[in-house]
Amino acid sequence: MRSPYSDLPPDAYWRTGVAARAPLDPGEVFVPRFAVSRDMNVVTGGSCFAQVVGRALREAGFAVIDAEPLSEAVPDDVARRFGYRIFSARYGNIYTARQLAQLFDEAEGAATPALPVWRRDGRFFDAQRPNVEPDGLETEADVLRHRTAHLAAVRSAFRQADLFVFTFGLTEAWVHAATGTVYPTAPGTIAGDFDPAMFVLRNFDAIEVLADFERFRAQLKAVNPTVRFLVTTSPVPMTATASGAHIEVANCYSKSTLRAVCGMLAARHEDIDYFPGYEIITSQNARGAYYGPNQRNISPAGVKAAMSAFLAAHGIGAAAPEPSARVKRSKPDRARLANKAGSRRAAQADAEVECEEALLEAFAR
Amino acid sequence: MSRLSVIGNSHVGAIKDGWETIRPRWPGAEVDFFALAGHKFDFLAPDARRVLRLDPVYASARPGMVASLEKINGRTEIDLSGAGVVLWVGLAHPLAAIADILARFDIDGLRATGVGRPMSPAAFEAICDALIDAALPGPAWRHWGAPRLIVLPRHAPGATWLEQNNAKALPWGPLAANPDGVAAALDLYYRRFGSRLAAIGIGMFRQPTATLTPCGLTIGHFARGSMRLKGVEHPETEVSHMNAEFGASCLDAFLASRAAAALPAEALA
Repeated sequence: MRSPYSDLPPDAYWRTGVAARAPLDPGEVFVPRFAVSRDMNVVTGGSCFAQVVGRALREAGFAVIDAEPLSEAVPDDVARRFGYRIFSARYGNIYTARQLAQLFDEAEGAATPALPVWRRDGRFFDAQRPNVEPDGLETEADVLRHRTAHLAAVRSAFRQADLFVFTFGLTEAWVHAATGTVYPTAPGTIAGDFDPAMFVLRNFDAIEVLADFERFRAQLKAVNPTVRFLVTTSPVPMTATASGAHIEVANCYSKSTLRAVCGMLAARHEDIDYFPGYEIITSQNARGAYYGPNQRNISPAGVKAAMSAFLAAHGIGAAAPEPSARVKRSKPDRARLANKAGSRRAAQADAEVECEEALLEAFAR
Repeated sequence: MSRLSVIGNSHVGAIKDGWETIRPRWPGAEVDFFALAGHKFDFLAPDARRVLRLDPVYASARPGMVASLEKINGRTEIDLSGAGVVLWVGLAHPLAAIADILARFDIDGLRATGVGRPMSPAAFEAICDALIDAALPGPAWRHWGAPRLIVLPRHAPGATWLEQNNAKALPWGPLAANPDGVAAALDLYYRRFGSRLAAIGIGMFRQPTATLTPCGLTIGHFARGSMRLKGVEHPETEVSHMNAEFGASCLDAFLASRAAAALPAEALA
């Protein structure tokens, strides 16, 4: 008697695909849909884990665009404190697909977020990236001027991208009730004031997340027809939930939703590939070893396991052939700047990620 | 009698040559010099008695460096304990990196050229501090008390650099084309440099502003006719080293300043 399960390869069965695997062996969980190469212009964005992905890609020699570069002489810790060298532009973490779509619309002049400037202690903050200036700016006009320059960099980076790498982080977001403007942080955490009559919590479902990303994809392809996408789901659990559910329940909903959307996107669009970093980090085979002591942060071993699997699947060695030349500058800077910081950046690979969401914990005390 | 000891790398040469031209103006001053070219100076370190010399173990392995010390200075060490003030000339610092930032960013409240990349003063100050910290002298130079140690940071390159096809001069081009705010930004940088040196017990004396162009480079003619420590003239294209006129300007200004206050009054008469 024949069965559709009788003739499958070993990795189709849990026993041979997982249980019999050596501990911490991630297995061959990733078969790329399309090839990626170091000469592609890569844009990175997303949640905290996307910072790790971006850094690993840079260190592996990918041409990750940096549209708001700093002098290579500036140490990474200072640069990152002000939002430089984290993503392809200084947008900070983009936790939701809605925020990504909104950023693109704003960069292309198609939308203007409500309440763009928040205050704290007489200083002014960009509500869409309140962490890039830890002390805020002196005036509201300064914030708006900085944002205009930033949006030009975003537009340039997105339009140059050959590969757009995005890590989905959250389904929960705080939204301006009257306009639908979404924010990366809750008002009142880094700056601004929380007015429950003005801001509401949204916990997006899979249909909404899918629609948001598909809208973003369509609009980006309208100005950059050849761009392709690599999507991942962040394995970093939520720091806090305002949904009313237990954090583990809320986190499971969020990650399940985002993982489902990644699968739907890959199934619906040939130009979208899904990298199962989430599965590698959270695998029972890893026995929790890829998490730090707080059961939230991804350990260096976890990052290495995930990114090694990515590179190996693409037939790319982990070490960059010429790390000093691989950080992709926006066009005006490429000819002028020599990147001499490859080794220094590699030495700081274990640096903390910049995570606004983690601030929520501080507010719980 | 208290003296001024001038120490440092090859940039001491301009100060020494300049001193010969202004010595009559400072009849009470006693000035001596001790130098070793380039990064070799970094291998000298003061011991607890303030004797500046090569580490003996290192010196035994590097007879050539000992010979250079002897040839340039006529001695291989200098006892700084009897000096009233020690002026350390030519300390390397991240001026080029600061110029690069000023070329590519407008700093709120300091420089607005419309380059399209604003930077907050907080970010600029944090960058200055981080870069400066990496350039500060090591423990052997800190908190001396006596003699008073003052740093004359390495001067800016000569403005003739802009006429040369030199990639390292690139950041200065935009500053020369639009020098608005450059002086204010560099003032801020040097203030922070001075503060961080002061925190480790070291004074700072900056190259006189009269020797600078609006974009922060040293006025071109100060780079013409500069001499090597061993008495040979630098090539015409030289922009790093300055001539005796520059050295005289620096030393004159230094002796006239409060930075030299540890010297006896008669030396400053």
